[in-house]
Amino acid sequence: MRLRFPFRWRTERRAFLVGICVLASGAAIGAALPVAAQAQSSTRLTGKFVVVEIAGLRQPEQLNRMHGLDLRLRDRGGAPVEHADVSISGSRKYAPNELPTVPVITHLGGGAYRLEGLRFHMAGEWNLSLNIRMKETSESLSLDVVVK
Amino acid sequence: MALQAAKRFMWMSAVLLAAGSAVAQYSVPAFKNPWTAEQMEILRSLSISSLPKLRPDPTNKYADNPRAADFGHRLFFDTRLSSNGKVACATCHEPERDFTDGKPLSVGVGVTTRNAPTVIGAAYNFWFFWDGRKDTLWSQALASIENPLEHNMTRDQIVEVIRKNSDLAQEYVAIFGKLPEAGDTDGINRAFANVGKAIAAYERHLLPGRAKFDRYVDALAAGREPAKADMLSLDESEGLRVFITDQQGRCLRCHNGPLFTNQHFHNIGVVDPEPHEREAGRIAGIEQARADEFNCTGKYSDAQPAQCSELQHARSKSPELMGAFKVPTLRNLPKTAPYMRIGNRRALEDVMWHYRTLPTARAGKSELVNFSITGTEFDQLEAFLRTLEGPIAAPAKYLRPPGK
Repeated sequence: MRLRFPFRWRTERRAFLVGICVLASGAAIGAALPVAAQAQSSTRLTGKFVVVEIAGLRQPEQLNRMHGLDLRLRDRGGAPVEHADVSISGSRKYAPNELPTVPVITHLGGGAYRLEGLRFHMAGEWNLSLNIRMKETSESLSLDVVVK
Repeated sequence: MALQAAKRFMWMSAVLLAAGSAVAQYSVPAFKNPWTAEQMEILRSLSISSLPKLRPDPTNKYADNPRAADFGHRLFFDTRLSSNGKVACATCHEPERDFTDGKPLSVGVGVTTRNAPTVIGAAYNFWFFWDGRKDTLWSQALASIENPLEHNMTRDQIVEVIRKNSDLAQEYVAIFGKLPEAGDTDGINRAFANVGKAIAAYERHLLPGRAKFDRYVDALAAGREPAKADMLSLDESEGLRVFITDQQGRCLRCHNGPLFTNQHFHNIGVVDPEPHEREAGRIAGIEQARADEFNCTGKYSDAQPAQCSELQHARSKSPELMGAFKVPTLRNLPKTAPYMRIGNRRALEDVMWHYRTLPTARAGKSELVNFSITGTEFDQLEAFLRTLEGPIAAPAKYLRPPGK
């Protein structure tokens, strides 16, 4: 007696393959999700005079990655803040260690600024301070970053 | 109809049997990973498997040129590049000692003031020398050649050595083009830089291999039980726990990533060789790096200024950099004794003693504070550090002098 496969292979194989594809896609999406969540990179800081949107900052940030950030500065009325003198400093919370680098921030126009040269060399909690000096006023905004 | 039902029954039985045997296999007492998910994340970050592929060096267009690497290999072992004809790079960086020399202070033409660090994995470094006064691998080699206590040669003399020895001259010309005339300062500087670039091309092949620790972590990360030979002992495992626990060892703050260094500079109170001396460390080193004609932005570098972000953005004014020196890798420690920048710690046990006694810095302020670690845990830390000893991942021909 010859054993025969109990399913109608030609038709059911297609359903089987489709199922495998669906499972694989689901797994791929599942695996990609944490990365997407980590890469979520828009942070808003709201001060008394200015609102800063920061693009490119990861939470948690990666250790020893030299990178840049894009900043967009607006006043509380929504108008771009131009030609502000912007600097950033940072230190580890509860520890004396400063950033190993001195990032430089340049004005690009349209309220946009580019920060270059940010790197964290120690894991843990960091506090960044964005110091913004405008024509008639100045303001410091604080941002907590976790580095892993 | 009955026959069809019987066939279907047989198929289902076969499937169930197969599934049953698979389940039975998994019901054997499984190995339990002793680390939490958070701890595993840290362990994975320390494994050599997390080390990215070596990136091209924009400052050195010969960095990945095989002929330049072979030439650099020859230069690395060549004692003609010293004033007494007895000193080569390999004098202080011996392959059989994991590219160190076993001496507290290295001896070139004279006795230096520094312990020779390993060259293994140096191509990943951001900064070179203990005080970080060089920012490229190739310019590090040049400073040693010109140091009166090391090779004690001038750049003019180096070019003359190459010119007068046909074996060197032929290779140099084939790779870099013609040699400069005597008196051509810029040409000689460029040729001197090329010598460093060839040595760096060779050194880029000297990379750390997989140690017991890496095999252990990689097996766990893959959900497998580590092989018996790769399983950490209780002491090694406890030492690792202390190492990664921030409230205890705090080791990870400086010794992080797959090379176990954060590539930065810290003051840990290593006592200066001369009591009257107060070495400034990084705070002086960064100024030297910026003023160096062979740095990343200099005319002998092949990089565009935008590719020199480490040099351009390096912090230089912070008080914490006073008396601070580079964090060395912790890989391959057993063969690289003695330790610290002045080689004043002869064995790993003595290094542990340094962290137990917390010496006061002569220059600046030591960052070390009391550790919540018992004597037994210090011993266990030492046991863990020994699991980082691995082979050198390099072509065999590069681990011995050329032609041997």
